[in-house]
Amino acid sequence: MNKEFPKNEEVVTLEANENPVVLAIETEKSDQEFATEILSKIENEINSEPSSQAEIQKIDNSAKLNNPSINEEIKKELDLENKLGDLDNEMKVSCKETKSKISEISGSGKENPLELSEFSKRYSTFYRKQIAQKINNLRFKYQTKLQQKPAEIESSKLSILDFQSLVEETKNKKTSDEESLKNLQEQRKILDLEIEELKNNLNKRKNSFVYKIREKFIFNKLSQEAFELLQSEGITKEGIKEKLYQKDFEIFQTIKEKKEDFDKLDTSLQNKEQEIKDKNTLLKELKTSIENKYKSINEAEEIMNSDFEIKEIEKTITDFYSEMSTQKKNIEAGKKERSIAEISKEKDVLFLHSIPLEIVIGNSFSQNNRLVETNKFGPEEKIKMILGVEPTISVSTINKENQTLVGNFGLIFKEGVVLSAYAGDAGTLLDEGVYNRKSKYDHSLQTSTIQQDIGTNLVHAVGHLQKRDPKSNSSVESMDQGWNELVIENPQAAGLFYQKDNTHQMPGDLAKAKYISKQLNLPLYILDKEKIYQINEETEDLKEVNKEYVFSSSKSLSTVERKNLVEEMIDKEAFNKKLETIYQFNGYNVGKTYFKFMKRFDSGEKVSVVRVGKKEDLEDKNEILEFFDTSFEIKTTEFAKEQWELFGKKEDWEKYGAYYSTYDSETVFRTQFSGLAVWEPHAEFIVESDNISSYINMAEKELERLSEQGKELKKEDGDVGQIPIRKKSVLFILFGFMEECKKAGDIKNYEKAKNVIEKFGNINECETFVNKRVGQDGKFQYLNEDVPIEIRKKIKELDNV
Amino acid sequence: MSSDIIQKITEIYSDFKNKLSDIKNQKKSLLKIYRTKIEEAKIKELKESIK
Repeated sequence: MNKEFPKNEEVVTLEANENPVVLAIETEKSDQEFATEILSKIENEINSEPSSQAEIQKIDNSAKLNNPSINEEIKKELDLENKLGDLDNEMKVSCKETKSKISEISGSGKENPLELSEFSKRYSTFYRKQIAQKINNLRFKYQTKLQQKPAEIESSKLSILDFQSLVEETKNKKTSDEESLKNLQEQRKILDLEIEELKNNLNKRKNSFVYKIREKFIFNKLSQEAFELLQSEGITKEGIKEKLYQKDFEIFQTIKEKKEDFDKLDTSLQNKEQEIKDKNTLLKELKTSIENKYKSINEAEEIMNSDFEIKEIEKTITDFYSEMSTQKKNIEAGKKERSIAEISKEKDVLFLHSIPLEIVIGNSFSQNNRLVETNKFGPEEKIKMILGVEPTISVSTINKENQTLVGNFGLIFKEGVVLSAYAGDAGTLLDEGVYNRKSKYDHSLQTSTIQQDIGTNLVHAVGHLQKRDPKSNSSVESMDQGWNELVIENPQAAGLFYQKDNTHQMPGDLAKAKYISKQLNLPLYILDKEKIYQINEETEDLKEVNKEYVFSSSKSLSTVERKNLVEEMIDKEAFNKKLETIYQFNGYNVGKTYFKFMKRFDSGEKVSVVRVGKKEDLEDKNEILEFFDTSFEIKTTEFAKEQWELFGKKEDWEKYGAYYSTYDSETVFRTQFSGLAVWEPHAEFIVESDNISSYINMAEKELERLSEQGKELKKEDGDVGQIPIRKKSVLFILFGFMEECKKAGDIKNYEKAKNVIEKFGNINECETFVNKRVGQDGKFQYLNEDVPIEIRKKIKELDNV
Repeated sequence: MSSDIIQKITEIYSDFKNKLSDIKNQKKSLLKIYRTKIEEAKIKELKESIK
């Protein structure tokens, strides 16, 4: 299975630190890919071989004979053409055999991965974008994991070391506590014994004969007089007793003190025991913590070593291509069913694509195709585009019921392949490029632009209007318009149509239709209800013809003619530039203009920056892309105000899609419409600054803000969105400003601006862009790289035919 | 990627290149003869025109 998938092409780019493992997976070559490379080499070698006819012609031209029949005679004599033909044939056979052998060995004959990739680009850009985004997210997850997990493991390991040293410390303390406890227990034992001994001693004394005598005969026999006498001398009864029993008191006192010591010791003992208990608890907790940390390390290592994301990426890619393979087979198998020629014959219908003869405001063409510069597209250009590029377009069928069409002029098609069909207007849009067209309401088209069950849809979508059921396309609700809509690819035109209205009148500009028919050498047919007429160019007489006549009398364009048409589009610079390019170019001009404005403003002039399009260009402008390449001018504030009045109120601009913006020294008004800043996106910060130096400061602040925002977004899911493009816009504004500082000799601010650019971007990149893109007249230089890749591919394809 | 498949594909491709080169040489020599004959005829024409 081919692992090719867009990285930079259509989706958010994974900017830095692309992981080699992931990249290897996506670029790893399979047998099939190797085979495909060889097959493509074989194809190239055969294609690069000049045709025998061209070689003969070359020789004939190098020595032109006056009598050309001699050439033929020599050819005949040598049997040249037959022999060369045989050799060419041999080459083709050998090529075919070799390709078949390689396909057989590698299995690539069954499914050519490159073909599948091209298939998905043609029919599934939107789904490819989703898949690519999913892959980017997985890749981001994988990389984040690889970056974060080792740090987590390291931190856990350090924690374990800390815990272990804590365990050691606790154990040591516990040992010391246990020793203390033992000592205390010893002391208590000794104290206990001492107290016991004293108690015994005291008891012995109390029981002694001398004690009893003293008690009975001395103390109790003391007369009242003796007591009073002693009291008068300050000696109390207790004092007498104390004197008499001094020794006993001393013993008693010692016992008391010892007991107090004992109690204290007991408390210490209990405390010590508690401390030991606490240390045991702590040790248990530490053990659990260490175990948990080991668990975290194991988990982190498991996650780190798991290739879940990689497998998921592989599966996503495999599933995607498997889906593409199914759809490819489906469309190949249903070619006849999807063929316009077949459907036209079977259902007696004509396939038509309406093209407005006039440029209409809000013309759907501009909304439906962001690839082209709509203001450069009149009806002729649109037809040339269809004939040359053969884009996937929407068509309606018209039958004998003659249902309503979007417009009364356009192309009739004789061939093409139906990708989707709807009974009503399905609002089909190009996702991007020229092939990915699908209905904005059809939610069943999740993975490609191809309706799988085309048979059923065609039954409901094509046929008599009354028999069509607008609600029958379950995937698209509410299609109650008069016309149906089918998306077809590879459209082959049979001619132009001009449809009469219900009163059989010719609405609009028939002369213009005739002119286009003549210019493009396409037959013009008049449609009037169920009838088709050929129109006489001179007399405008109508001659009825049938559908078969229309199909058979058209001539197909040659490859060279088609190539010329595409190249004409390129010469007209008809394709839109990339948004990034526009922002860079416009930013540069904003910076330059703003410096000049500030200079004049500083010198006291009343001036405004005015950006206004030409009146005739104003009507069809509703996209930011179209503000490109308009000039910024510095006018007097008075002039700016006059213009403001001229264009009326803001509501009027919105109505007409006109644009006009000013930035002036007095009112500082900026205008907006359609949700877009007409001054310049990403240049809002300039209104905050009021001198040259502060302008640079504000730009720096804005760049800092964007950088921070980018970092935050990157942390979230790796998708930085529009931040890089916005940063570039500001950098180019500053670059234009910097150049003007230098020109004006303001070296201080020049250096300041330069430093800011170098801090956030690359000054060489700015210089290269300006050299490449800004012409001597200050206008934008259109380059080959501005031509969309699909168009360049188309030219290559036409070259190879 | 299995090396034997690569080897086989490489061999087939190499055979094809040889065959192609052989055919091209044959075409070249045929065209060379044609060119010689045409040049001879041109010289003859020129000579006749001088007479």
